[in-house]
Amino acid sequence: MGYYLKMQSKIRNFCIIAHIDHGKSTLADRILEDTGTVSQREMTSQLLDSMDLERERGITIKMQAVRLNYRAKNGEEYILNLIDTPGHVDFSYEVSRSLAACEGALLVVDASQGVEAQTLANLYLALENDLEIIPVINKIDLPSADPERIKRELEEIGLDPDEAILASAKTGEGIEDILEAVVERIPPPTGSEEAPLQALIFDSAYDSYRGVIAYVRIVHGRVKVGDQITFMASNKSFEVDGLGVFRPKLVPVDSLGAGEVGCIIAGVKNVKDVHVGDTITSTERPAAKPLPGYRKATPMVFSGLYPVDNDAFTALRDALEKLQLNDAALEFEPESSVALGFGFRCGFLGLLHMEIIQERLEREYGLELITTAPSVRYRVQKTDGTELYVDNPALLPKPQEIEAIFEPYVTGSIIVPQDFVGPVMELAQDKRGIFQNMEYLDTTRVRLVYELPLSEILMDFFDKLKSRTKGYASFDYQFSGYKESKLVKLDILVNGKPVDALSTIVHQDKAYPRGRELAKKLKEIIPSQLFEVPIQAAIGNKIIARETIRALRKDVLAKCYGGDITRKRKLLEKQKEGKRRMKALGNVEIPQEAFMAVLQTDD
Amino acid sequence: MGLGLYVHIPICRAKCYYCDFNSFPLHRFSEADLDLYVLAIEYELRHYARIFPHQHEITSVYLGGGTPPLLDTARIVLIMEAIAKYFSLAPECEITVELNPLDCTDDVLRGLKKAGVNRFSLGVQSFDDATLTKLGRGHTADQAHQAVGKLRETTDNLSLDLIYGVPDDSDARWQADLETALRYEPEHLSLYSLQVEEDTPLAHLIEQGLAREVSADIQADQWEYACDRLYPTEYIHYEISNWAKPGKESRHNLGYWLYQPYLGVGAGAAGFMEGYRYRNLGDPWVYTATIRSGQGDKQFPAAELIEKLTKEQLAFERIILALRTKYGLNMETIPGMSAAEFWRRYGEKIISYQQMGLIWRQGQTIGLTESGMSLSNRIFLTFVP
Repeated sequence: MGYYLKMQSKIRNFCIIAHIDHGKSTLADRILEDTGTVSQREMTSQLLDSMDLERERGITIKMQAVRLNYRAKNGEEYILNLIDTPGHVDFSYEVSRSLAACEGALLVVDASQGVEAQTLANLYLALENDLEIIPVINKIDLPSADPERIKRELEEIGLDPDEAILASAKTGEGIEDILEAVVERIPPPTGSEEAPLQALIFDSAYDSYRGVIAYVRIVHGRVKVGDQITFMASNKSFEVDGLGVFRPKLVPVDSLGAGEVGCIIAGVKNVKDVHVGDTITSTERPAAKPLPGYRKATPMVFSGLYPVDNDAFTALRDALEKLQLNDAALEFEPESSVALGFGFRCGFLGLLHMEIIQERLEREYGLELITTAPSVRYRVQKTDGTELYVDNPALLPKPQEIEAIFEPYVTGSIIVPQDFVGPVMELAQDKRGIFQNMEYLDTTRVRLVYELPLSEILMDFFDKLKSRTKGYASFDYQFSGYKESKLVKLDILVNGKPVDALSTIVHQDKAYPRGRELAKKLKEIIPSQLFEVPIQAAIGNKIIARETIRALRKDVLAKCYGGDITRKRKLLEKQKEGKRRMKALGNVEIPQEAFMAVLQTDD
Repeated sequence: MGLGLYVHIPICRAKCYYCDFNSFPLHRFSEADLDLYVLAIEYELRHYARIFPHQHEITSVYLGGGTPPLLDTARIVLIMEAIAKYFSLAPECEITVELNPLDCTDDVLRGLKKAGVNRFSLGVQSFDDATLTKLGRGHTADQAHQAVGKLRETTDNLSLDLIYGVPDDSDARWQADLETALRYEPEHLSLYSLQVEEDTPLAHLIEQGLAREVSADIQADQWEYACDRLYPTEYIHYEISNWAKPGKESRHNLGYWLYQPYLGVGAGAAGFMEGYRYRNLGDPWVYTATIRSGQGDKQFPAAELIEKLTKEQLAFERIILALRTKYGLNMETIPGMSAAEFWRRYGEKIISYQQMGLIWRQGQTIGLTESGMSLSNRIFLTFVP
């Protein structure tokens, strides 16, 4: 056996998959600590989540790979590569790519909560990638832990309950068993050193000095510093100027061979050249074909982002460009709105992705934004035989020009205690869901599968699901295709003028109640003006609802004591500042949150 | 141009529930503290007399608080003597003192008259016991009546403060109070809507659900009632919150609105001199110590805030202060801004306000209608630079 093959036999590539909050990050931290990769002192809790925002939200957006050294009970030294995966449905494509970089996965299930929708979604992804699954029942230290019940649930979803490891990332119990299982049960990588280079990109990051950093799993061949490499999807070639592994800080290496996980730095300045899922090969001796499974990340959710201050348009563009360097899934193009001026229509992987981008724009770039309600991308067949995609409701063609509208649907999987099956079915039906399947996970928990319009999920599906099931339901979905729907454009008129940024596309049967609801909501949000302001909802030329914001009657500053005019002036200056955050539509001032009101519905 | 002088006496018997201004309970002051405070005021007056030698004639003095008589009328006499020593009092100089109904004893009123006071502003607020209790006023309706009666015998220049929009207020209560006040035929009336200020006992009561703020509608009704009630009488609605019989407008307060200079002396007092606005340190002990140390600002020796108004601020203040009054704003008198420039910036807005009946215009002068006054804050926002 050659040196490389011997070395390869000592490598284990694995990841941790779990439903949100089931303790994935804590477990990763504990593994890092127990293998001496980081000292206790260096541990800021949950090390793998490097962005502040991620830590605050308790979710992982950017995955990283860490190389651990582990001396197993058999006396041998192993290299374990722990690849972190994002924990949210928005990033399921990235999850699938990082799973593809592994041979095995720890499936972490909370010892009290059991199998949830994301547990299943992740399990299926792992099985699709032929991974060895090691079930881990975590948080067994909690009083509410019920490992026996969880084992039955694992059996129900096709896993061997006897293989499950009981652990507590908090107390450290079971961590060694997990590491041993990784060595024993997960097969070593099998790539060939001699074959042409094939490296799977499972993530990328942007560094302002070094350019794009591609996180890779070398599947076949070997890459060395100085090699010419080609990104097969973008067909662009670069010279490798650095290779490294994370322990957990970046440590430079001279080469990476089949089975190894690390990063490649090749002076790539544009993140658009580095697609997650793409294959890197040798320019001189290219592989015959790329690794399977690549697809371009496609945005599913669209929203208009407008600077509150029109002068900040350029600053917003610069900020979006910078964010895009690190986030190839973010799309944007300039658009304009009568109501909001100049801004950008942005495409996101999902709602969470959208929120993260908005928050980063506001927090890291100090921008004040008005966000229009998120929309899906509709496919519109026109009467003249042409077809177009519409992701901004204001741009929907006139009704007489429309032959048919198709909207994106998802397959949604909901896991709930059986007591809540009724309310969940009611909700799904209310959201135009089409029942697909129902199965018992154990005697008390049920998995429901529905086809749902994505637009209904953007509204407030998840919040409603949580509130109707006392927080017990878990939900996961994936895009399933376009279906024809009877959809109409609902316009909102403020003071007699249509406000394009408040238009939405709704199902015909729901247009009337939505119109009434929206008019009512806007009445609450828009403050009284100096004159009466009618709020109307309309379909085409037909007004379907009306509310009136009564005119303000009194707004007088308090007595000015002893001629302290400064205090008064400052008060006015502050109030004016507050008004600057509103958008003036004609004479009416509309606060930012009005543009999101479209998203909430009454129960 | 006249020079106003405001003297702040930051002493009260007890804080009213709604009050957030600069005052401290009497029991916290020793006699020596009060003497030193008067001395500090004298120092401050002497200082201004030296640095503003051309501003010598004082056309109005306003002794405000707090409750100035709590200082003791002898000390007020000392302050008035100091004013007369370092400045000259114009003939017919208006000298106002603020009082609480509990101050209106024969002795105190005699003392104040001796000090030269010729205008009495009584913070009666209400003649309704329940309302007085809600406000934490510390006096009863009977005491209010007695005080007004005494003052009525003492002076021909009486101003009464009334408050509306108190928690759980009713139109009947307000209308009755206004009628009661009118029976005394005060020369001047200040009608204020209650504002719930942060961190006052009233704000806490409301937070805890022990008091309920009235709706904006009730406040608006009460304001409209007062406007309608007083319109056919001889009272002139000369400023947003102030009504007076002809010739009995508060000259001192008009000075603020008409953009005349004024000095403020004492803790927390504010002044406006030569394009500067300043406000003194609020804590009377710190104020006194600062004045005595001579370590303060060269121009405004006890100021905690001094600002040189920018061109934009000067124009803005001129606009909004003038618009508070019934005389309105002559667009040709805005410092640093021509009438044409003013109209270029705001003409369109003003015309729309005119159409809404909020602003009137006569030649080069614009002003707020009564409807405009009740929405003045919103209208002023238009002019914030």
